[in-house]
Amino acid sequence: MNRRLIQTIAKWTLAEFFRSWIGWVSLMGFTLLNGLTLSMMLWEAGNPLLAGQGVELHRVLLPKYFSTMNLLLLMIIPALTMNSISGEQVSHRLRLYQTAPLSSATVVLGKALGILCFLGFLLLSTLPLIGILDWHADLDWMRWILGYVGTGLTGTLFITLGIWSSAHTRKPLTSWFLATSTVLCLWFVGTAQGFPILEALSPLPKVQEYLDGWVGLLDTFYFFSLSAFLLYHAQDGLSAKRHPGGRSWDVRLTPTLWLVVLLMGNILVSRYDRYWDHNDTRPFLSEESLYLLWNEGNLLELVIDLEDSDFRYRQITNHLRTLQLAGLETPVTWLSASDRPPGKERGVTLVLKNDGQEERTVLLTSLYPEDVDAGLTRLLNPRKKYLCFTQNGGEPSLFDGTSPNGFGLLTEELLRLDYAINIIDPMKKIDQPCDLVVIAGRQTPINDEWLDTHLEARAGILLLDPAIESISESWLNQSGVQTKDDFIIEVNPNFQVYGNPTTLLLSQYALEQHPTLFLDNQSLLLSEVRSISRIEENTQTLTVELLHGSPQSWAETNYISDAPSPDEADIVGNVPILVEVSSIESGTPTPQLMIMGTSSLIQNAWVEQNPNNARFFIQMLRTLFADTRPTPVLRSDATIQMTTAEVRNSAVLSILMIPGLIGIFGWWIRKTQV
Amino acid sequence: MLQIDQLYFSIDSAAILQDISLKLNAGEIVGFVGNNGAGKTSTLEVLSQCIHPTSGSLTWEGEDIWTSNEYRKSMGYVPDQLSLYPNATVRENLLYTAELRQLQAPQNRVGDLIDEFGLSDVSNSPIRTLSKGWKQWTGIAQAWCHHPKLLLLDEPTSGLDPSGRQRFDSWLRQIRSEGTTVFFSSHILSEVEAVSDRVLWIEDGRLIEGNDLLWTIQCVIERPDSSIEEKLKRLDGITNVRLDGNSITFSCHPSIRPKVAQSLVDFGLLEMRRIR
Repeated sequence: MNRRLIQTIAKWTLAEFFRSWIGWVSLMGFTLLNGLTLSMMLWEAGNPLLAGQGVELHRVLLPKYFSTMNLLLLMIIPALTMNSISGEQVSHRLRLYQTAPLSSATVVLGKALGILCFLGFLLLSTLPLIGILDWHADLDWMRWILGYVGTGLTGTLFITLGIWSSAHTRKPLTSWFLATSTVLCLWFVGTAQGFPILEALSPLPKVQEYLDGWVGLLDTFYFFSLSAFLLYHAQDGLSAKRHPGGRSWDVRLTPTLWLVVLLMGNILVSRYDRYWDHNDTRPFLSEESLYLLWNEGNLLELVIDLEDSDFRYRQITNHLRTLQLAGLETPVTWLSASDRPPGKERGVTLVLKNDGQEERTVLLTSLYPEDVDAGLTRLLNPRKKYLCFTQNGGEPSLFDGTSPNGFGLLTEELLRLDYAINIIDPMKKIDQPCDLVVIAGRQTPINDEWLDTHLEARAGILLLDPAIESISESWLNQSGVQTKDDFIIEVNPNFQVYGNPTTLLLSQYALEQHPTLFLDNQSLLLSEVRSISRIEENTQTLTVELLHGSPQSWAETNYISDAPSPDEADIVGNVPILVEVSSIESGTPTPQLMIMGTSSLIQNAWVEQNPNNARFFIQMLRTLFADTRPTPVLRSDATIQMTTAEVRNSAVLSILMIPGLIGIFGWWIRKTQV
Repeated sequence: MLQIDQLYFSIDSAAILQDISLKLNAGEIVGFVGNNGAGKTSTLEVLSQCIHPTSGSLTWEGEDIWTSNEYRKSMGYVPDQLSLYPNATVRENLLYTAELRQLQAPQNRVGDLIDEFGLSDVSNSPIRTLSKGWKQWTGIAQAWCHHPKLLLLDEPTSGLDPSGRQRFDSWLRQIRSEGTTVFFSSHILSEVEAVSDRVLWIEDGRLIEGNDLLWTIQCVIERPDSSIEEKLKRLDGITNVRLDGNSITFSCHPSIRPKVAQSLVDFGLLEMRRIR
C-alpha cells in the first residue's frame, strides 16, 4: 500500500462528486433536510411560547437531530458508494486500476478515503445549523462534537459497507440494493429488545451512546473493527474481479477466518470495556427509582461489591451524585477485597437491602438505571400491579408503537416500570388478575352494570374519553360527573400547537390542577378534550375536579387566521377536564374512578413529543392506587427559548438560505469549469 | 521479453482460451487477428492482468508477471472500451493516470503527451464532449504516459478516420524504432499487415500457426474460363479450387489473397469474400 497513491485516488474520488451534479445535489439535499428537521423541531415542539418553557437542548433536541441525520446518511451513502467499484467496472474504468502498479487495498482505501472526505463535507454543511442553536442557547459543545463523532463513525461504517457491496456486485443498482438492505437490517436489528446478540451487531445502540455523551471503548472498537473488516473484504472482492473463472476454496474462506477474528476481538474488548462519560444531565437513576428512594430511602442500603481500582468505580460514584442531588441520604457501602466475606468472589454486584430483604443485580458493564429500577421495584413492590385495558371496542391498540394513534409507547413505559398488562373484553367476564381497569375510547361497548361490578371488585377504573353513547348519562350523573363536548376559552394563539389548531397544550402557566398530580414543571399535549365537571348536588360520592384548562389554554379555531365564534353550547372560562370520584361509604374517601376528557394523552403522537403525557398518566394510576410520590429531581439541562419570529428566521436560514447558497456556489463552480 | 506458455482460460467450464503459447520480442510489432468472439480481447485482458488465466505461465523478462510488479510498470494497455472519466477533462484524465503511475513531474509529462498526440485543442474539454477519435487518442496517450516497454492495443484504430489511421501507423513505427514492443489486435487483416512485423491468428480461443491457417474464399468473376482453375492451382498454397458458373471457391492462407486477386483481375474479378 502506498500512502501517496491512496491520497491520489481519494482526491480524485472526491473531485468526481463535484464534477457532476451528484455532489452538489447531495450536499444541498442533506443540508436542506437537516435544516427542515431542525426547523420542525423548533417550530412544533420547541416554541417556548407554547409550553411556557424552553426545549431541553441535550435531552430532547440533540438525540432527535442526530437520529434524523443518521437516518439520512443511511439513505444517501449507499447511493454515493454504489459506483465506487461496480460502477467503475460497468464503465470499463476498473482496468485503469487493474493495469497500474497498485494493489487492490490501495484502490479500496483510496475510494473509501475519498467518500469519507465527502461525508466530512456533508457533516460540515450542517454546522451553520448548530451555529443557529448556539446563537440562541448555551450549548455544551462537547456533547454536540460527540454527536458528530458518533454520526461520523456510523457514516464511515455505512461507507465501508457500501464499498464492500460495490466490490462484490457487478452492477451499481445491485450494489445500492444490497448496501441499503444490509444497512437497514443492521440498523433496525438494534431496536430488537431482549436480543443482546442483535443489539451487539447493530450500530444503533452504539451511536445512541455517543449521542448520550457516553464514549465507550467497545463501541469505538466495534466501528473501527467492522469498518476495517468490510474494507478488507472489499479489497478481496476487487481482487476476485480478476478471477471471473472463480478462485480456490482456501482463498474464498480467508475472509471468514478474519470475521471470526473480528468477533473474538469484540468479545475480548468487551471484557476490558472502558467508558468516558460526558453527560452531566443524564438522569442516571430514573424518576421511578428516585420516587422509591425518596419514600423508602431511610430503609434502603446500597451495597456495591466493586474494587475501587475497577474502572466502573468512578462511573458509579459519579452516578450516585444523582442521589445527593435529590437530597437523599441513602447509605452506600462499597465492598472491597479487605471487607468482602471470606470465600466470596468479587461479584461486581449491586445489592439493595430493605428491612431484612435484599435484591442483587449483577453489573455487566456499568450501573444502569434499569438495573436499579428493576431491583427497587422487586424489593419494594414484590407483587406486580395488574392493569387491564379494554381493547377491540375501537380503542387504539396497546401494542401499536408506530401509528400516531397507538398506545405502544405508553405500553413500553408501563412494562419498564414493572406493571403487568392484561387485555380484557368489556363484554366478557374477566378471568385475568386485574387491579385497575383502563377504558380509553369513545366506542367501548360498556354498560352501567359492567362499570358497577368493576368498581366494586377492583382498585378502580380510569375512564378516558367518556362517551355518553356507551355509558349512560345517568350513570355518570350518579357518580357526580357530567360531560360536555364543546367549550371555548379566551383567545390566545400562543398556546396553540402550530399546524394543529385543535390541540391543547397545558403547562404550569395555563392550567389549574390538583396538588396530587405534580405538574408544577411540566406540560401536557392534548387534543379534542371534552369537559368533565362535577355535579355539586351529588352527595353519594366525593367528586373532585383535578385539572382545569385555564382561560389561556384552549382554542378550537385557528385564531391566527379565523375569529372564534362561540355558540350557546360552548363553555367559556375555566374548564374542568379531569375528575376524581371517591367512595365515601366507609367514612374515608377512597379514590375509585378517574375520568379524563381525552385519551389522546397517551397516544404515541403526543407521548413521543412530550414524555410528560405518559408520566401524567402514571400519576393518575398512582392516585387510584393511593400511591402518590414527590416530584422527581433531575439535573437541569440547557434549554433553548426562541420567539416565533426567531423560529421563523431560523427556518428561513436553515431551509432556504444555507442550501440555496450551496446550490448557487455549485452552479457557479460548474459554470466556471465549463 | 514476454513469454506465454500453455495459457488456458475458462469460465464455468466453457473454454475461452486454449493452449496459447507465444513470445513477444523487444522492438517488434505483432498483429493479432481473429473474428469477433475468437478470443482476441480475452488474450489481451490476460496479458494486461485484468483477468487471471485458469492455467499457464506468463513471464516478463524471466519473472512471473503475477508476482513481479515490474511488469505492470513496463506495460501499457489501450482496451477496446476506454478507461476515461467522462466528466473530467483530457488533461485531468492524463494527469490522474500519470499520478497513478507515480511518474516524476506528472504535469510536465502530461504537457508532453498533449503535444505528442496533438490534443492541445481539446485538453481542457471534458471527455464526454469529445468525438470518438479524440477519445481514442486520449486513451492511447493514457496508455503511453509512462513510456511502457510493452504496449497492448485492443482494436486501437476503431474510432480513427483514415488520416488518423495513417498517423497511428507512423507513430507505431516510431515507437518500434525506439525499442517498444507492440501487440495489437484487429479484425481487419489489411490494417494489421500494413504495420506488423508478424501476424498471429486466433480462432475459437486457439492460436493458429500462420502457415496452417486456411481461409475459404469465394470470388465472383465476370468472364469465367476453365483456365482459371489451372492458373489458381499454379499458385503456391491454393487448394480445393472449384468453379461453379460465375463463382469460384478455393482455400488459401489469408496472406496470399492479394496475389490471388491480381491473378483474377484478368477474368473480371467482381467480388472476393471469405465464406469460412
